[in-house]
Amino acid sequence: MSSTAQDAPKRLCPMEALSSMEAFSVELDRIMPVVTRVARRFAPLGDADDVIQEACLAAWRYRHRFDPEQGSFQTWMVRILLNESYKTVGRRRRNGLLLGRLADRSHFSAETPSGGSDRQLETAIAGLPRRQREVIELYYFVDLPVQQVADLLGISSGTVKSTLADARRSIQFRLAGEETS
Amino acid sequence: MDIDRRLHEAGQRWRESQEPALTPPSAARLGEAAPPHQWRKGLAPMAAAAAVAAIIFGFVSVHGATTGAPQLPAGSVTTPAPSVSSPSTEPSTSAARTAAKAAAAKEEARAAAAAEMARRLQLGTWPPAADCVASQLRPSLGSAGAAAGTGIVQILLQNVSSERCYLGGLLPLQGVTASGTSSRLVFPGDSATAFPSPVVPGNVEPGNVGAFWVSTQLNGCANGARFAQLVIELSPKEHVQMPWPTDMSSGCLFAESAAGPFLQPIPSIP
Repeated sequence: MSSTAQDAPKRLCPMEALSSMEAFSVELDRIMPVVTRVARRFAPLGDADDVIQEACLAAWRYRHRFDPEQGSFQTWMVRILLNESYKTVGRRRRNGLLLGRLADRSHFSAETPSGGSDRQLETAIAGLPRRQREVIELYYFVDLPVQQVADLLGISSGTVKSTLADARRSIQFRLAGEETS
Repeated sequence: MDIDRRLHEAGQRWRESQEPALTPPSAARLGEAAPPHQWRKGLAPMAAAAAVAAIIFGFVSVHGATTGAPQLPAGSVTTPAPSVSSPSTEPSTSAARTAAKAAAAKEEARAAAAAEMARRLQLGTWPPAADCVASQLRPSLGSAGAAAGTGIVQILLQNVSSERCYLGGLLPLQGVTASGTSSRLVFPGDSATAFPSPVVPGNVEPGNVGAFWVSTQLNGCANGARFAQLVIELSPKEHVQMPWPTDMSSGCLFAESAAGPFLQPIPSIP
C-alpha cells in the first residue's frame, strides 16, 4: 500500500482551503497520484488526461458543494473522476468508438512468476459486473483501503469485502474455465 | 495460487509499470473563464493525435464504404434512409433530396462499420488463443498517410496459419541495415495518447489480419531512420521481418500503437 493512498483519508480538506486557486491546486497536486491511477484504470484508453482535466474543472466549478463532513477531498474528487470516466465511456460507446480498454495492458508480462498471465487476469476482470470490477480496480490496482473504497462507492465496508469475495470467486471461475478449455 | 495474492501482485506490477502521475492544471489556469482545452499539455501533441485519428478513422470509413454489406453484423437489417416528402418537384429540390439520402446512407454505413468493428474486436478478445508466433504471421505494409505534420504508417500482420492466435500489446521493433546491423527503434511519444486506440488485443482468425501503426513527426526532422528491413518482435524468441517501409523514413519516429486484430478483408486505400 502506498503512503499516498493511506495518508489521504486522514487529511480532510477544509472548505477554506478550496477557496483560492493556489490552495485548490495544492490539494489537487497532493492527490494526483491516486487520481491518475483511477483515471488510467477507468477512463477509455488515451482519455485519462482529458478525463482528469474535465474532472478538475468540474471540481473547481462545484467546489462549494464539497462537504468535508461527508468525506475527504480525495474521495470527492475521485467520485467526480469516476463520473467523468463513465460519461466518456458512454460517449465513446454511442459513437461506436469504444474499442475496449485492454489495449493499455500491453506492459504486462505474458507469464508471471506465479504462473498464469496478467493478460488473462485483466480479461477476467474486464468481464466482471460493474460494481465488482470497481471494487477490484480500486482495491487492488488503485490501491485504496477498503474503507475508502466504501466511502467512494457509498456502500459499507462489509459490502465492499463481500463484493471483493464475490469478484475473486468469479475471476477464479473464469480463469479455471479458461485453463480447462 | 491464491487469487487474492495474484491480484495484489498484478496490481503492484501495474502500478510499478505506470508513468509518473499527471500534472494537475496550474492555479493560473484554474479560472472558470479558462476553457478546458487551455489546460492541455500542449496543442502540438493534440493536433498530432487528432491528425492520427483523422487518418485512421478516415481510412476506416473509406474501407467501410468500399466493402459495403459485409461490414454489417450478421442478422442485421438495413433500412433505407427515410424519404423526405415534399410537394415540390423542382429539379433542385430533387437533387437536394438525393444528396441528403446519399449523405444519410453514407453516415449509416459509417456508423454500421464502426459498430461492427467494435463488435468484432470485442468478441475476438475472449477467450484468448495462444500467442501468435512468427510462422503464423506474414507482415506487410498497409496504408500510409500524413496530416498536420504527422505521418502514419500501418503495418499488417496476416495470419497465414490454420489456427487462430492472440495478438496484442506493443511489439518491439528493430531496423536492420543492408549490412546486417540491427538497431532497436525508439519511440519518444506515448502510444496511449498519440493514437485514438483503434486496435485492441484479440484473436486473429486464420486468414485475417492484425495491425499496428507507427507515427512520425514530419516537422523539424531532417533525417529520418533509414533501414533495409523492419523486424517485428512477437516475443523474445519470435520475430517476423519485412522490407523497411519508406514512409517510416519520411519523418522522425514518434510513437507506435499497440497491435491487435483488424477489420477484414485486408483494407486498402483506393
